[in-house]
Amino acid sequence: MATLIFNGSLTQFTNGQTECEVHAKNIKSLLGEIREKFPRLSPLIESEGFAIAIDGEIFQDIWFAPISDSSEVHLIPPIGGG
Amino acid sequence: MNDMTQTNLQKDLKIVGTRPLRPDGADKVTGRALFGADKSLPNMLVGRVLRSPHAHAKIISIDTKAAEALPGVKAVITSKDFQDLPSEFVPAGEMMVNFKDMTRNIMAREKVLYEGHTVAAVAAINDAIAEEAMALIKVEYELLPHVMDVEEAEKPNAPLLHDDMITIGVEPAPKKPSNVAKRVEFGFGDLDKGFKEADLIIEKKFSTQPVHQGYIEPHACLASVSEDGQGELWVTTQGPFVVRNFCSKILGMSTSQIRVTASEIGGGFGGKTVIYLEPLALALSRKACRPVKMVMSRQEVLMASGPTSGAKIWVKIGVKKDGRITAGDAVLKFQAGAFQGSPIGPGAMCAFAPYEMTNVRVVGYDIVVNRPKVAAYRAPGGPISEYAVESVMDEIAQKLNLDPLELRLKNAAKEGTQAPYGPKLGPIGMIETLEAAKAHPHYSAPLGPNQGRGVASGFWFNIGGETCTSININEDGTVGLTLGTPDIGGSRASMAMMAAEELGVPMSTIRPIIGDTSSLGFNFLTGGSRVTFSSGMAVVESVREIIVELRKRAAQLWDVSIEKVEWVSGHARLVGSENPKSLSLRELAEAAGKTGGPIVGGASINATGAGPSLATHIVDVEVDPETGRTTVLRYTAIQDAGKAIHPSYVEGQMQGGAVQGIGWALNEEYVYDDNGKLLNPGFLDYRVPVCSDVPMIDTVIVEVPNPKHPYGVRGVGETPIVPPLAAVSNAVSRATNIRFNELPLSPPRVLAAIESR
Amino acid sequence: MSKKHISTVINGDAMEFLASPEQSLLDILRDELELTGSKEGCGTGDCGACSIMLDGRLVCSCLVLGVEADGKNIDTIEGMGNGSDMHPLQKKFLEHAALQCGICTPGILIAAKALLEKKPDPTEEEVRYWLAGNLCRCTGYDKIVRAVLDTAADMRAA
Repeated sequence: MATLIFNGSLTQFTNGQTECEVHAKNIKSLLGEIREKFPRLSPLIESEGFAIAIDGEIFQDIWFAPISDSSEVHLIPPIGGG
Repeated sequence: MNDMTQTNLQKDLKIVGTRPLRPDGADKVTGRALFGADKSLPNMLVGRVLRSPHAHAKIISIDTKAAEALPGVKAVITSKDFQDLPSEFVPAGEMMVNFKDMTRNIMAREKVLYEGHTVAAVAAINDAIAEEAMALIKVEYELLPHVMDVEEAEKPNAPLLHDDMITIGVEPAPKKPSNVAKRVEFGFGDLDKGFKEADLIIEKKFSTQPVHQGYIEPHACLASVSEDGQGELWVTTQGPFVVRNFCSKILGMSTSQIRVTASEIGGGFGGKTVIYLEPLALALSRKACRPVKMVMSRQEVLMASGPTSGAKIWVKIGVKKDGRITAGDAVLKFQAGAFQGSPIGPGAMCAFAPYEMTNVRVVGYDIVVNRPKVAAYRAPGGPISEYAVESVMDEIAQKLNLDPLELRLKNAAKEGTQAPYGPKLGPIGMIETLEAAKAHPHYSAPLGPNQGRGVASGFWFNIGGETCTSININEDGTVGLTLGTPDIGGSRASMAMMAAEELGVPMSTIRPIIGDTSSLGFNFLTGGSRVTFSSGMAVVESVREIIVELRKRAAQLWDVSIEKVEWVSGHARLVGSENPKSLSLRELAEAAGKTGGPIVGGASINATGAGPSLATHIVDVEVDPETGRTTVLRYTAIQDAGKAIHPSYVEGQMQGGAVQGIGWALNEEYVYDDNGKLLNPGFLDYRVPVCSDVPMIDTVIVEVPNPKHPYGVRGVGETPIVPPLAAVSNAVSRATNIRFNELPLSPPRVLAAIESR
Repeated sequence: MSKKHISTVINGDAMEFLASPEQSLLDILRDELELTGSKEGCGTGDCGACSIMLDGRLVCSCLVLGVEADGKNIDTIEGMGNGSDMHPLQKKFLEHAALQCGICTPGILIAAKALLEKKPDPTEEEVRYWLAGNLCRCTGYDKIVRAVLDTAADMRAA
């Protein structure tokens, strides 16, 4: 199972939990799993949009990036640029 | 997602890494190149914008009757001509856009929220009539108190810009509306423990002013909507596809009804990623059934288009005697302008990103004020937060009597470091840029009286995103390459170079163009330092696809299987035969009709794997103790490019970013009067650096390849504006022996500090 | 007010136009004569993107009225080459990658040419002060200054 880690203010919405195990094998199912486990994160994800970092590589608006059992996964805000 | 590892890093490269002439060069030095304002159409009207003279006011009524009745006036529009849109965050490329705000920024509805806010627009047969018409529009305002500063705006009794704004990111959600749009927080570890371990703690407040991107070409567009609803838009923009999507939503048109062609773009730096005139020109054209051209004046650009945020920043860093950081804490308050959306997220994420932190926290607030809505500006957010952190780092170095580069080396982030925003970093070049700075002769050159040397480092993420390109082998074997990301600083050259390298042909046989929105699938905009990275990836993938097709055609001609054909130096070759057969690209192109039709290819990707680019800058300044004026004597910019495809244009990005940063540090600032009216809306007194203000900008390109790009590219455009603010401020602080914590370091501010020393 | 008939020589060709009293020469060039190589960055003489030569004098065409051009010689970026080849400055700007977006380039080339005609051997400082009226936001000026100095050296050697 991969490890999902919450940083900073996100822990407000996870009852202070900073990490959890996830079964998801890709980002799409990860987002589903997050919504289910942490429903209070849901509206934030909807309104803000989120990027997923899998082992340091950032994926924005991409569903089918694979997550392996040993992956470390982070939920981070999307990054734009100038 | 793409699977493109650095297959070419070890290869002997013929074109990538050289400095050929750019394909669009001749047009640009002869005046042929057509920019936003350079195109006209028959029967064209002139569009002009009526703007709010007030910083904050309720719109009671707008009477356009007299203007409409004026002979020569063909259309007048107000917010009544635009549907209202609900508060809904919609992904637009990689940005989240709230269309309720966007439609109100395009055209004020209930209130005007800053001086220069659009209240109406006019299309007329000439400028003089348009001007006269605007004077005939009667707008009745009810003035409201205004607020310009973040610390004033967050007070409970501050004038409210939006009475429905509930702070996002706070749990439980506040009951009452405020001007604080959003709170973000990043970090990990135990701050109390970290600060307890520290031998030295420095805590300081900083402030920076909003600064404008300052592109020399004002916003401009030419719209033509015909009676059947088909629209054409010629516009100077970083993202024609994004413009199309924004406009279609705001105007209630389908995307296929709007075809957007990006003109040559006269600078953007992030400021041309959003829309201002475009939906107005389309709406006026739709109403008048004639083409409408709109061009902003410089005054309008400065009054009404987005600068980046001004900010208040608080930073606290604890270190051991040896310089090792034990804890870092920061609070950032960014001006969003009239609508939410400052770069507070990336600003907060970047603040401590050059360093390996064990205990770190950054809290950020996005705060609305009665100023134009901010837009992206080169590494949005990064220069502001990193300026404060890098200033404190310099003070720490001085207090501990450490070399500022050694202090940074001791704490430098590297591959595997957990970034303050969570994930572990891949290979990055922080240490390499610091080592290069240490070794550079500039760093050990002697200094004279009243002179000081400052250094600072900078981090920026870089992004990938949706990208689409197409490629055609012409009948004579030359190549057409169509790209969807506007070329803002030489990207047609780097794309043609990568295509030529892959295909094994001379670069001169490749003609790269920027396609319009009907010629390609969606492309996210030119921004986030993503073009050489993402479009480069798509180009490489297109070429690889077309090479497969070329091998197939050759296999057919030779009656062998495709595995028997390899592609070498622009030729198909038969593998393993005694008399190796060969077909050139030209021969294959000439036979295309007989072997199955035109040889075309393309790629459509959502690029990931962009690698952060780190930089370290060194600057020497001299401060005149009589006037407080700072002269930049010498400047060296060192940056990890991953791989420089065209080194001249990489250097150009580094030099240009450094000088924009010098402007931010020394001069640029908006001056508002007590009524919230801008006093310096022009280049005379909104002073960007001129040629005589700066020395040569020496560059050192460090190459720590990005393993996710076929040539190791990281993206270089944004990072160069991150270090200069602190580098210059640190240099001035060392030259004067006064610690400065406010920008810009304009002569009056520096002189006042010297005199009260 | 009625328009005035103006006769000029532009890039060596006799050209006539009608100018309203308030129309700038830049507007005439761009809007009436379709010579859009001269750019408007500010309209107040601060950015130099509209630089042209008027009777051999370097001016911001946004600060000159169209009617003032009567009987005068005008040189714009469109006439900088010799008809079959680019001017050495134009070539050097490409060689040195002295442009990124290119919007300031026509004005800078016109100004640099005026400098080299006056002073074939300028110092770096002289180039910097001469070009101080031409804003460039992309390049940080480094490669522009180098291109001008390099052109000067080549032209002296020629």
